[in-house]
Amino acid sequence: MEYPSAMAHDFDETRFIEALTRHQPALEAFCHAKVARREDARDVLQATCLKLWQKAAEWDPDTPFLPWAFAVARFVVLSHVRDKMRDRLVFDEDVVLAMVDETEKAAASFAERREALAECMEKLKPEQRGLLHAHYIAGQGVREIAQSTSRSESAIKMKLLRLRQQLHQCIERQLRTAP
Amino acid sequence: MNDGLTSLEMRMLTLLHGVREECDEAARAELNTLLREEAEARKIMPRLLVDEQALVSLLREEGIVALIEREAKPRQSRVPLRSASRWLRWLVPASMAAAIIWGLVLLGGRPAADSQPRDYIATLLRADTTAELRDPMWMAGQRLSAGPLKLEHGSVLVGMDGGAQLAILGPAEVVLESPGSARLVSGQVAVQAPDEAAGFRLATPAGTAVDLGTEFVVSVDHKGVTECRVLSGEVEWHSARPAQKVALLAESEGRRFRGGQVESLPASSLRFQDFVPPAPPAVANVGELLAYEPFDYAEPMMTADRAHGGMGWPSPWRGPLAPEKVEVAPRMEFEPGASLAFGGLAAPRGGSLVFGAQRWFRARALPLPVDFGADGVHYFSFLMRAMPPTAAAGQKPWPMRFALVSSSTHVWVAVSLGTSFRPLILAQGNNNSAGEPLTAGETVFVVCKVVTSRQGADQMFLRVYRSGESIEAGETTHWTVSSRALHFDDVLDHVELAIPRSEGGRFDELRVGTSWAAVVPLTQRPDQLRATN
Repeated sequence: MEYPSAMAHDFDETRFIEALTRHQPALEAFCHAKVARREDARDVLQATCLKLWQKAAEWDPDTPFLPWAFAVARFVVLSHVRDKMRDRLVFDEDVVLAMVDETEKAAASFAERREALAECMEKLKPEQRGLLHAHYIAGQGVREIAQSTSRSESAIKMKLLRLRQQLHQCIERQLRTAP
Repeated sequence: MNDGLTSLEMRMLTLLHGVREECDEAARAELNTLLREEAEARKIMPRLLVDEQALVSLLREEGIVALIEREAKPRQSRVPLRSASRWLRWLVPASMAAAIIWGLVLLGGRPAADSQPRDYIATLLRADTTAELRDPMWMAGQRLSAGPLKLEHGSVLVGMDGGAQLAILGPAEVVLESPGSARLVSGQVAVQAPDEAAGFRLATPAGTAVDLGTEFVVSVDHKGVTECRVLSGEVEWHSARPAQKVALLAESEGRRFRGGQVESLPASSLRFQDFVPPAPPAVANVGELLAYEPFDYAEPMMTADRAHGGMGWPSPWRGPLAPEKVEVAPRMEFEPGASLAFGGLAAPRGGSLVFGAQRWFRARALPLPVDFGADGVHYFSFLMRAMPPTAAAGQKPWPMRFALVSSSTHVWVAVSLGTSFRPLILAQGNNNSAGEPLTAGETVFVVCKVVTSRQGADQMFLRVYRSGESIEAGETTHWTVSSRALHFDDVLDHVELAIPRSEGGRFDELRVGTSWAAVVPLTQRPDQLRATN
């Protein structure tokens, strides 16, 4: 491969780093919404950040960073989708393309959605938090959790899905009622 | 929310679960069809996934807050971070998140350090591989101080400074007491102590296992029932009840201690390696390589601002950072097509940096600064053909120096070769030199590790590999030089090479990363990175 070169042109490095750092969570959310698997999302995010560095001189610091970054990320995602084995993909390419606008909207509001989610999570019971932690942070599968809690797999699966649904609905409510 | 949408959300969550958790191809087809046909589904799905990312982010943060709260102690010798580096503050939790990103939660952790280097007694070498493993921010190599280490799940490998390695399987609570001792409160620990670490002590409620150069595994359950199995070698068991009774456990022997009763255990066919979390796959290391400079320039001489090769660097090379050393059109000298080679570490692309007839400084901005006011671990590696410096008339000879420098305050830390040509760490006036002197013209592979801490002491390590030495796949436990405890909060944002006036000296294959594996490319080279262009 050819190594990505550093910038040949002058650019405002500090502002670029600040923007990339500030918006990286939203970019990761964008990548995750596109590929739906966290490990793939991290690969895509990594490739996107590399690409953004390569193209840093093209960003006008007086314009919003995220739309530009999303545009770059869009191509990296498509490249990932085309390269990836079909059995690893969650969404087909045409579906990824069809969801472009909604994905950008949702990812652009990542900070607000996260804030709303924090409020919603205040209402969860410790065991509900524990379940989410076990699944989403510890990476335990439904079977593993079921075994360790002596519950049936279907019960754990339903608990997880209902929790996700409740949290999603709570976020939507919070955002609708936000001042 | 109306019922239609509620059921649509649930249907999508169920299908998504089927695709991701159960590899259900029918669910995948149905999900894609639904998204093609239903505009509302195309609206909801991205939100569900963005919310999932937010959920993971919040759950990680909860773990981090717990960790910080347990660790937080005032550190008087610190100065505040400079305002110019405010944006870096978020990296503190981001870096600390690494420990839980892999399904690993270290709670309790280390107490705040005072100013003595003995604060650090061990290194977190590795965590188990899970689906989360690829996160580049995992703090492989982070230093651990004496204190409790609680592992909620997963497994970690801890290298004690005394030489023993502990493979800890969660849930477990282990108190690290000294470089040569630990206490197992609950859970399971496998210990490997090479000959030089013989005498390592692992205390339990039932007694203390004293290693005699061996491998053994000890477990303590929630009722305090303790088991000790010797996998190889011998262990001396000092019972707590009756006090001071000592038994010698030979290879394959095991004992269970329940109250005052002792039972024999059947032999185990396991070995220490069976308890060690597997090394991350090679591809995972790529993400931790932040920058790479192969010095594969086509021209033998060019101005520094045209030397912008490699990957990950935000800008080209430049002249000295110190204003008093400013040069007009600083030049760099290369040997195109001629790479340094060290065992299997031949550079994938030809070229090296030449030490020339003049001495000079050349600097390059790091992709991410090394912030000594935040928790982090950085690694640097390079190949060097060491030649003694010579001096022009009226000048002093000047050794080669690889430094991390602040472009604003010009504070620096460095690794170098001392006057006796021995490996040297230079930091805040604390010079630490060790190891055998190098030979003129010898090519060495150098790895430098910089551990920064928000609250505890900072520390630097240097490993110089000489011809014939094998390079460990995992982080070395045999550093050539270790610095004393350092305390400062500067943000060092450039690497700076002090290149001596020295015929025949070369510099090559500079790597910057956040893990040992990223800068010690035994299996993965930057030219094998997935093409993203």
